[in-house]
Amino acid sequence: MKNEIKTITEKDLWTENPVIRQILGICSALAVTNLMANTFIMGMGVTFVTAFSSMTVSFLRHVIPRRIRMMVQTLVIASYVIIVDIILKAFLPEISANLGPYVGLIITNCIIMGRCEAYGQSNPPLLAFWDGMMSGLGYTLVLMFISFIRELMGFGTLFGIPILGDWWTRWTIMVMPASAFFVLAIIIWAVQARQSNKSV
Amino acid sequence: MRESPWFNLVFMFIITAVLTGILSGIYEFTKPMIQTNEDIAIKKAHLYAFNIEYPSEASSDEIEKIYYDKIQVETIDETIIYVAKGTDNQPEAYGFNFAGGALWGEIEGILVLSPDLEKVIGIDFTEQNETPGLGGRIDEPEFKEQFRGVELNSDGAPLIYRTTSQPGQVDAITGATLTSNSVLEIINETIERAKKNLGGDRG
Repeated sequence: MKNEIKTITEKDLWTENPVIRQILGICSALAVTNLMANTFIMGMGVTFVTAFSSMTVSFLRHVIPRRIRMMVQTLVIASYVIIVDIILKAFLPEISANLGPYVGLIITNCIIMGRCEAYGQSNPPLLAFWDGMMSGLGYTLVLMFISFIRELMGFGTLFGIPILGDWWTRWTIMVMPASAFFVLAIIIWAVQARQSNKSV
Repeated sequence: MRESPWFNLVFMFIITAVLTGILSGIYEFTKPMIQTNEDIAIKKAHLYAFNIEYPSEASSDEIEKIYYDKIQVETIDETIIYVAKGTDNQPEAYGFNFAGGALWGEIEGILVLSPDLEKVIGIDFTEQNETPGLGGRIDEPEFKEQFRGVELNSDGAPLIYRTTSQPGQVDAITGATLTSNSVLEIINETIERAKKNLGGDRG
């Protein structure tokens, strides 16, 4: 059990990171990463949904008929996403307004269903929960890194706090979704280069 | 048994019922909070447009109190008009809701004019889905503040953007031409409508 937890953590955060190694969740990696505060809440939302969906699917894994398992998974994921949406609207209305439609779109994040399919439905609930949480965190870390670069260069701020002075010319391209392609590609390249060096 | 279509159907039915049941419970529980949040966000936008100051840490009750102390809601010709009255009960400003399509979606907000309808007191947006960092910047103080105290043109369009070839009252947002133009169009329409609505009782 202890070993399993360690392996999961290492895999989800680094060696099989969902964004960098599996290239999943790219859509939101482009959409919500121009402000770190929004990215953080989005990451937490995805982590919450992945962890609980994976756990719920794992609890039900002996009862869910195989043929309709994807429908059930989607239903479970959708429920948790709506919960996140409602909680944000009730307790963090400003962030909810900033994220707009992207909260609802968490449901289309492939990482979540990927973890339910690949891990949740064939492993015990607690491990599934941990795996979901670590995958979500792996996703959050990469997104935070992208948004760090984008917010700093695009707005000259971090978490809305001015870091670079007036001398900094804001890079409008960094605010546009397209820039996330460049930043993400560079990160993937750097990490892949590092990981493949190690294995040689 | 687990592979039979009937079991699938019953299973799906039960799990849908259970999950939607839980969701409706959570929704019902948080509904009043969400409504209060939305309502307060709109009231704050109105106060901002009316240029009425409120403490930034004000609770929702305090916001409500400040709001109803200063602003009255009236209906003229089926149009909702917000009226701020001074100490002598004379109107100090009129607020009008506006709505219209922009680049990505519907923009909604409030436009506040002086009682003679010749000056803008302020504008604010309550709903917009424009590109963050570009069109979305209409919701930043930098853009909204420039409308304060602007004198309207008596003929032609009431408000015009300043360009190199043409004098105007306000600046558009660079890189967000479509959003900027839509906003100006909506606001100008609202001003025309306001003049029609209030034209009679200005005497």
